Amino acid sequence: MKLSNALSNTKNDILLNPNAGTFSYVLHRLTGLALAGYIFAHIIVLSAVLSGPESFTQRLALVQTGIFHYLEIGLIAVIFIHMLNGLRITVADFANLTRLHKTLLWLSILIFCAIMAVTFYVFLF
Amino acid sequence: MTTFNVFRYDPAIDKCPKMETFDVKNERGMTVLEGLFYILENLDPTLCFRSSCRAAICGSCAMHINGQYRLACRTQIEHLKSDTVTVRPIAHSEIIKDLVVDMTNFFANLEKIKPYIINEGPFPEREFLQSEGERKGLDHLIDCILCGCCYGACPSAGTDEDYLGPHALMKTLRFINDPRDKGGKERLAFVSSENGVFRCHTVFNCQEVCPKDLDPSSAIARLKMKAVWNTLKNLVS
Amino acid sequence: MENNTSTAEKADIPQEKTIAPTLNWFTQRITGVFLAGFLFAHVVVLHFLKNGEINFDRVFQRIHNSPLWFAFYLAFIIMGIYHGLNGVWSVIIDYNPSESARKGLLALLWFFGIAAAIMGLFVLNGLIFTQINPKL
Repeated sequence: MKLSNALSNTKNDILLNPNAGTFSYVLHRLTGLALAGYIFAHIIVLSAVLSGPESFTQRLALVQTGIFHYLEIGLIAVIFIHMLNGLRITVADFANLTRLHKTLLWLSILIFCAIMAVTFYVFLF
Repeated sequence: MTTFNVFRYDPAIDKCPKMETFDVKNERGMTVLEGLFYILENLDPTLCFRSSCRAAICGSCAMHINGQYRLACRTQIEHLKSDTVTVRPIAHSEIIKDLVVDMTNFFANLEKIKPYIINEGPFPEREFLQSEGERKGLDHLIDCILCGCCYGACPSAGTDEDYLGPHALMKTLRFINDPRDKGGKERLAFVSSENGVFRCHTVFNCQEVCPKDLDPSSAIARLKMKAVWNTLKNLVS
Repeated sequence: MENNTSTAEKADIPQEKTIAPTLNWFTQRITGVFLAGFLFAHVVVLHFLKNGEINFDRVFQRIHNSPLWFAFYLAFIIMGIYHGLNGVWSVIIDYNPSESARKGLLALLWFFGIAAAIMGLFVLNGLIFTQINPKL
């Protein structure tokens, strides 16, 4: 299949199947790609340690102030969306709980909300 | 009165598909399929769609109705709780005309997994006897009517026409679980190839849309486990 | 389908061809489960309990010469990079690249993966086994 056809099929599938499953599938893909990119950025930022402790402290201070502090909340949200959904589909596959996938989704949303509440508390107060 | 938005496309004439609106006189208990027949008989005789048994047995009239793939013959207009009914053909297949799609690929994928009992013998004198428990293991798996709802709803089937699809994968488990069948190994190889079960991204759309309320997702999950253990066993030995 | 390319091609699939897809999927789940634990610990320690700014001294005090933290971060780095790039690869093969594009992209992912792993190990070495005030 041509790439353009496959991409337009993906778009149509998302629009034509407004289910919980589609929603978590799209989120999982997007957060996954974002996190794969983030690992590289993270290693590059931390590589400041190779030019000594002072430059490491300086670089870390840079990424902990201003807008970065608030972006970290988004990062934690992305991490836990991907983590909880990944655990959900792993459990569904390995323990054959496919009939419970919606319950599991609600459970992960609940855990996600709890974690985000802690995150907001830690970051904003 | 119910407004029907119907997908219209004739590849021989039209440049691109369009949605056409019809007003259908809605009676209590009327199904979407009956609505389409109303259009065919009273409003536009050129409308094209498949149907046969009108009782959710043949699987001909699967289409996308108001946000979900369903069988038109089983969906009452009243139950949709909407003044408009939007009808589209099944995705991931070429459109022949209007709501009729070419299912060649759908059935070709089913053929790949050899949907018949493979057994070289020795054969019993009369029939293969199956215990009640053995038959129970096939329950639900054999109830698939091959309507194509799951195939249309699966995003993995949308990116690769060679992906076996939920229908074929469920049939695979039906034969692997059957004690009379001895072809499990070759089927498992097909299932664990690149176009097989690992293209599934656990979206659960197949389970969501299945008009017979079967669970292809569960069949796929069990096949994944079988494929993994089989491969690990082969690697160790 | 004009030319019926995919019709009833019933040749059996050789066993070797099933190993890569199966192991890719399986290792993705296994590393995923491990990473969930690692990442949770990482986020709790470095974001929730950090109490002030993270700097070299604090990281140093926490993990200096600790074989346990070294093992933790070693597994974390390798599994994280593997899980990330394997996931990208599964998105790539979803969209059916041509044989040459496949080879090129796979080589690219291996290159980035190995480069990132080496870089990560240097960083880890710098954080855990550095003597006080060295120039690496």
